[in-house]
Amino acid sequence: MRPAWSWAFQPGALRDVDLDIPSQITPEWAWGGSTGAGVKVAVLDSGIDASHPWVGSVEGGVALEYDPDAAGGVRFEEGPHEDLYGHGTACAGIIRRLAPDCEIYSVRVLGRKLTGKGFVFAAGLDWALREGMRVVNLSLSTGKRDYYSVFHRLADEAVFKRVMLVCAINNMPGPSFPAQYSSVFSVASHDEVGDPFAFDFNPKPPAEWGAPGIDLEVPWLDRKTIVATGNSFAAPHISGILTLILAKHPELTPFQAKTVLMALARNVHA
Amino acid sequence: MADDARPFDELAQAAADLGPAIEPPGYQDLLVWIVNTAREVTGAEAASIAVLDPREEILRFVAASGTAGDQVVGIEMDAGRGIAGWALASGQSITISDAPSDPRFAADVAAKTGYTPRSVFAIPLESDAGTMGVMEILDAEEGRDHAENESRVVTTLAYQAAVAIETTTLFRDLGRVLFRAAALAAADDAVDVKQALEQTAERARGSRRALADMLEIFYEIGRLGPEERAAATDLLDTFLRYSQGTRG
Repeated sequence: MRPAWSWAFQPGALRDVDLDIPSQITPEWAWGGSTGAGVKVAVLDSGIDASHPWVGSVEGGVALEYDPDAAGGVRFEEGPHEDLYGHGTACAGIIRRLAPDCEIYSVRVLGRKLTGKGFVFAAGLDWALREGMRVVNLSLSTGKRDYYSVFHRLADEAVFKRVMLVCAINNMPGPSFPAQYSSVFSVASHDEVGDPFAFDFNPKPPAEWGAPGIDLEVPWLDRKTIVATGNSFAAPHISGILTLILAKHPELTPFQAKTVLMALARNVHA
Repeated sequence: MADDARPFDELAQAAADLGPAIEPPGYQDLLVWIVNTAREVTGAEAASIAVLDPREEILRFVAASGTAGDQVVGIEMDAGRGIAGWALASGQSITISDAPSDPRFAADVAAKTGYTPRSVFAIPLESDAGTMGVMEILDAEEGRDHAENESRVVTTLAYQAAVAIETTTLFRDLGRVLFRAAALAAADDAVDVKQALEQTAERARGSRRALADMLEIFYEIGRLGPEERAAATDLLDTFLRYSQGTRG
């Protein structure tokens, strides 16, 4: 009788992994020539306006709403939907700018109702993990202690599925889930506006990554743009860069992707 | 049930009186002090705090400072709209620098006050019990020397506001939970007050669950003799003073 889990390591059971670790990680190796093609990216937000010229296209999506009568307390409606606030469109536009050929999915978890928003948020993340997304942009968070373990379970599941969870970190002194977990990419904003690839590594987390997010022109409702500031606009920059990297190096785990990002951050000198 | 009629009347009365009576003193003053300070440290035209009523999904402005401040207090708006709505829903703070370009941002309030801000900084008021409301800073001065420190001060103030609102809401809910139990007992003759409280406790969730459990204990204490009641009150009083002391 072999111990549980030992079967995974039997001859023939293990899948071969091709990983080309370079002697030095360069931007050219990481994302040179990549357009993000073939990588599925979920934007968990207020919906995406697919007709906005900065967004280009939306591959698919689902709108979630709190419904105590539905199974699990959440109702799912697959298919196209509008953006209720404009923010999801902004995130999708930032990702599209970096990764023009990626497949963007809109997971609408921010509705007009606030009741049960933590439930809906968790169900949206669960949907993204089930539907084969490789990058999930979460420009949202909750500080409510009741959700600590729910999001921790999902964040762990994401790592084992090699899904990159990119989270805007909240500015408040209190907790921020899932942004504060070590396995996610927690992002805050810096004030570079010209270069979307300008990102920093913070050796003193929890805000582990810095990316453009101050006074940015972003797409919004009615096919317009606005000038906005927030960590929620920095996160999609990291999502876009990870999308480019994954299109070239699909075997990377979130922790390896962090190594790649760290080597290429503006303030890291390898 | 006849024996329970008197406690039932008392319960209904206590429920009506409880919220306002035990609301922590200085709550309103604290929120006003917070918006004044937030406005001063950012050099903003105006600052305000709106509290979320989760049952009606409404944001109600309870404190405001600066331009049109007097007109803002008391205004209610749909919590699911505009930039404040997004901040509430997402738990993230956000600044829109050219707010008039999208009239949805502050249309409700601007129409009532006549003041349309150029920039809106919306900060969700979150404690670890959930979302309590939103603080807005309008037309903050650009390019100030100590912007980073100001931003830290503002977020710390927002957190204090969230905790103050949470505490006050808990006290108000105490009356509400008690009232629900009283209504339950009134609606069904077969249900006595203790049973009604137990049922309310079973159905309540989260922080209200703890309140409902507390009420059940208070009800039982209320049925003890005068000496036991006095001893229980002393015990609670001592505990309260101890915990206030340890919180500094």
